[in-house]
Amino acid sequence: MILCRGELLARERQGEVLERLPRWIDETLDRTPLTPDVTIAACDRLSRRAEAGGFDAELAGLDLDPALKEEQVAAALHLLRRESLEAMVELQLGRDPFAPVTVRPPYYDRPIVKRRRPLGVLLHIAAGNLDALPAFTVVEGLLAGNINLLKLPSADHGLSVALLRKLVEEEPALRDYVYVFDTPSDDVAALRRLAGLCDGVVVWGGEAAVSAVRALAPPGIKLIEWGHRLGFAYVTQRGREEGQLSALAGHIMQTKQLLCSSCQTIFLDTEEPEELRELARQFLPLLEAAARRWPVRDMGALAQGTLRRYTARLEEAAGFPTPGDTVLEGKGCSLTLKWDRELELSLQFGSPVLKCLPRAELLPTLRRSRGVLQTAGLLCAPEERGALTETLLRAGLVRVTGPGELSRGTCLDAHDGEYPLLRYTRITEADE
Amino acid sequence: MGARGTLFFRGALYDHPGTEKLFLAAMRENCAFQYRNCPEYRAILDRACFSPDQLRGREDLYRLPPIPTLFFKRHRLRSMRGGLFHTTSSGTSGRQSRVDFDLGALLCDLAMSLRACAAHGLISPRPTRYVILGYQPHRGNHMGVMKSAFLSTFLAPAVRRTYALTFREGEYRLDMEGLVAELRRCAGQRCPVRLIGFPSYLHFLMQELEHRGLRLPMPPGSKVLLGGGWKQFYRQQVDKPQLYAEVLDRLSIPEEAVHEVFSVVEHPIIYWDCPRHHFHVPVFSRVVIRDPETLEPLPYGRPGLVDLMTPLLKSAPLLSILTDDLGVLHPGESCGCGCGAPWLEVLGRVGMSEIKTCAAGAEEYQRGERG
Repeated sequence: MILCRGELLARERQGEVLERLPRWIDETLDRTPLTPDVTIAACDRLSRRAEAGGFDAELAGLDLDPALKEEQVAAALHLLRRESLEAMVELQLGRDPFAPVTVRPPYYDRPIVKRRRPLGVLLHIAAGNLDALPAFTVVEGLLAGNINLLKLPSADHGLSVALLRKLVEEEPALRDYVYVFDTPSDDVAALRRLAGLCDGVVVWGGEAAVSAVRALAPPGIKLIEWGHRLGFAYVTQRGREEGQLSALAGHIMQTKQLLCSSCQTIFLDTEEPEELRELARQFLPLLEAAARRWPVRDMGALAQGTLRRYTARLEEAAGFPTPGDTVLEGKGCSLTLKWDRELELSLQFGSPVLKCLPRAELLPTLRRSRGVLQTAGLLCAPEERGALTETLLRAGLVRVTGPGELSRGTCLDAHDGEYPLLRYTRITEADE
Repeated sequence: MGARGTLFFRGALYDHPGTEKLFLAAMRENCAFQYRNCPEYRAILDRACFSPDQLRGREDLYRLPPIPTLFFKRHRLRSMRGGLFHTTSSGTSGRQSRVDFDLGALLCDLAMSLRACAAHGLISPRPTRYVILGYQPHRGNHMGVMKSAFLSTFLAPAVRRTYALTFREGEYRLDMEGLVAELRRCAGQRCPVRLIGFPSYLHFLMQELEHRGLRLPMPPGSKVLLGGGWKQFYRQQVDKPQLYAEVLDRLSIPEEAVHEVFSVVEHPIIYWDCPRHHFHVPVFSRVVIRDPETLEPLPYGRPGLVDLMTPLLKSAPLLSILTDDLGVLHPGESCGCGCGAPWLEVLGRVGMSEIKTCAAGAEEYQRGERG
């Protein structure tokens, strides 16, 4: 489905839409820019409508984990409420973000008018690992005043189009600022045409997506990449207590280790392999309990997890790739103990890697992974937290949380250490 | 001749009950060979407390530890030095597997192909023009798909071979003009034509003919042979009934003359579609669907991971491979075409479809696999 100026069209009409899109964009750009309050009011109304059951049909089609559904939907709707969006815009862009400011530079004889403006046209290439993400990235683009072209992930179940369609119904002024395409990623010609109309391309996650975008975006276009990060947990001897470990297990099974912020590697503050084995023995039953409570439900994902763990087991039996890795099999989960110290991707779906990492080596070790650092969960005594947090942030992390909150989301979050609205706007300067 | 040779050279193509013992004997032979010659495989079997002589009944086939294709993509296992011939996968997922054929396997493969081609009326003395909707052979390209397409042009004497993807200036390019020109030449001649290759390309070609308003009736006896990587079969980029209708409309080739085959590099047995377009399992292999969580064998009709078994190859322990595909096995009778062998339906690849998660993408960056 294509969403074009408030209308739903069949995918077959993509060619026609692409043909007319440049002119529509030009016309829209030539009008007074969209201000955040229009988007905020529309999102707030949409959120209230959804709370009253307006999206139940779409949500039912999502196959969300029943154990998490209510909480996830509520969190998503809170993000769309007026107070959330106003706080977000104010934090990221300041009060009255598009107002002109006159500056008088020292040693220069004339005043200059500075003004923040939208970047113009954004192409969003959204990942499918978070259900409402495609719609949220467009909302961010709208808050910054941009025209948004969204390429849906193939795994989208119709929620994003439904949300955005309702949004432009709430506020017809947004109609010309939202276009949604379900172009498959291998339709390079169409994606190239879309990219050719943009001032910026926002890419979320997906390896395939990022390399495709790099190849097709014309030079000079701003590439804004979100994602490609590995989360981890750091456990101190005093943090090895059941409550914290349980919270970590819950986080691992709830996110299935699929998010950038999901914990992949669990580091223990020790040099002693035996202590790591002890942690594994303590953690496995907690992870199994979490796997029972939040099982992998999608068959493809379940099979992938099983296949990866089975392959790892055979590799270990056959002496590949690193002899000495120890795999502890649990029901619906597993732990792999490795003896190097690098942050690494786990087998996912409930199969973290455990490693020793003494505190003194924390910063130099993490520095080697600086390109993928984002979130760390700390399991430690309260009086250790301050110093460890500081070390982690100095190493390059942008978020340090408790063991259960690695993947929490609030309206005031930065993406990978940056405010997206800043990146979706530009500063213009003109003589008075 | 060992059990493998007998299995591949004799017997009916779909007689599972009649070949049960022979299949087991060939698997046992092959398993013992792998056990002796491939230390890694031996270690895997030892760990599972399985020895080749335990392969006595159907249940034992299920107990034989299957090796995931993922494993072969990461590690090269060998039980023989070198091979006469090798093929690789197209590397859809970024990593390729390579499979070597020993002389015996090559002969068995040939026997299997010829027998199946004969059964499907593809062996003919009539000179034929081939239109290959795939890659032109080239020294650097070892894709199994390309080799089988090329080999199939020997089933009837070739007057001419035209390729959709021609190799020019160091890369493959789609030569649509060349294809259309060749089809124009073919139309109205007496020599039958065979179009061989990827369904998606055939679909493009049919669309192109429609776009140009061309109807080019092919001579009587012309055929279409569709095949390609396994992924072609579940992505459903091309709606098959629509494709058959297009082929009939544009080229006047009837649906009965359109055959479809598929194969996997690690399991190079050819599966042909029946008149109802189902893929029945030939006697050269056995298929078991495994539970996505426990890997226990599942009964007919239940979806799970596809495990493919064949004693064809000796060069590596490929006798039971666990693919990363989800599928369902149906009883033969449920098809209705008269073939009693079970048929396999592939549902799709494991994982979260296109969502390569952002965490997974990050690691590739870290390992420097990405630019």
